[in-house]
Amino acid sequence: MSPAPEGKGRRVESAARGALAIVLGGIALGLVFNGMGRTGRPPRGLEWIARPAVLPTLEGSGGPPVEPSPPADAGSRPGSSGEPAEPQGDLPEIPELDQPIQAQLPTVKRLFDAKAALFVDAREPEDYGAGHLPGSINLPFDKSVADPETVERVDAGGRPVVVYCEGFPCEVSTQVAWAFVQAGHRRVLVYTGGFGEWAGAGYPVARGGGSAEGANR
Amino acid sequence: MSVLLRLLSRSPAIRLGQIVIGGIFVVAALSKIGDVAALATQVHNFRIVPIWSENLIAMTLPWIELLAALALLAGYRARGGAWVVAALLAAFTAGVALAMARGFDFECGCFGTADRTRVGALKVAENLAMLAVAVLAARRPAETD
Repeated sequence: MSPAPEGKGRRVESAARGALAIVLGGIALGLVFNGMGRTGRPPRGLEWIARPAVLPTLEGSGGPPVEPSPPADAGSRPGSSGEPAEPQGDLPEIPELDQPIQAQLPTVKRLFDAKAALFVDAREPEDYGAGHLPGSINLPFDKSVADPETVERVDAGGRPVVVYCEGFPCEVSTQVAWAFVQAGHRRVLVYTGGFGEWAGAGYPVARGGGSAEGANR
Repeated sequence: MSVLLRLLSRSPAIRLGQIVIGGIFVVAALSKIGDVAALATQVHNFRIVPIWSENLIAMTLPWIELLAALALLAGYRARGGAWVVAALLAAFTAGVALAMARGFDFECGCFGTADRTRVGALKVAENLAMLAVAVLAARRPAETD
């Protein structure tokens, strides 16, 4: 029970070296294994880390920031107008990219008013139930990343996809947006202002429907 | 108490502890390696590490577990492996306890998707028991090595 202090020190050192070797070896193996693309579905290999931290901004490429939405009651009665507006006219041009694009409130509002985008709420069902953009579907981060089929099942009808979460500090909208890109969508926007900014601006908010089936439709 | 400690310091007891813990961790590691994406989500559930690091952890952590477990089973670098396992268990236990304290309720992902155990007191107890065995396995046998 009481080995010589000097010998004990050496043993601890050798155990620590072994532990270090195991940790470093494990990291190396993991990186190599996943770097070979053997990551299962969806591929979340090394490129996942290498994703750009800062997304391009839709409004950033020259031109003044878009002006507020067209007047009248466009957003007050979703579903009341007969024909869904085609993305044209004063609607922003959304480039097809293999990565998400950031969008700001005015752009998002115009897409909303024209029903020219599919809105995806990346927050948890409880948050969605407490208030969300009318017409948005609930696709929580956990679900969409764990089960990519929930993303693949979503049919945006050729429209761009706008993903949002609570607001500026939240990252999940970006991650869900990446999931949409991986599922093959090419016009994916991240509304960085999120629900907080939207509700704070006094824009329409719908409540309820925060159950799991919200993710399916 | 000291009699118990002496018994546990015998080589066979330590070897047994190494094999038990090594076996459990091999199973846990392999089930995690099989589904990295699910593991990344489970790491996310704990909301302890920043999102950018979740995938890195999901990719590397099971391999560290696997190497440590194999070291324990093989008896080569077994004490180093036992320390790694003990450190991991301590971190996992802290993570589960923190999640409980914050009122989260999710599958802990401790054995990848094969295990449906949810975060809770049972998991903490399970981890502490394994931690005890891991610390035992990290001991140097009284007689020989």
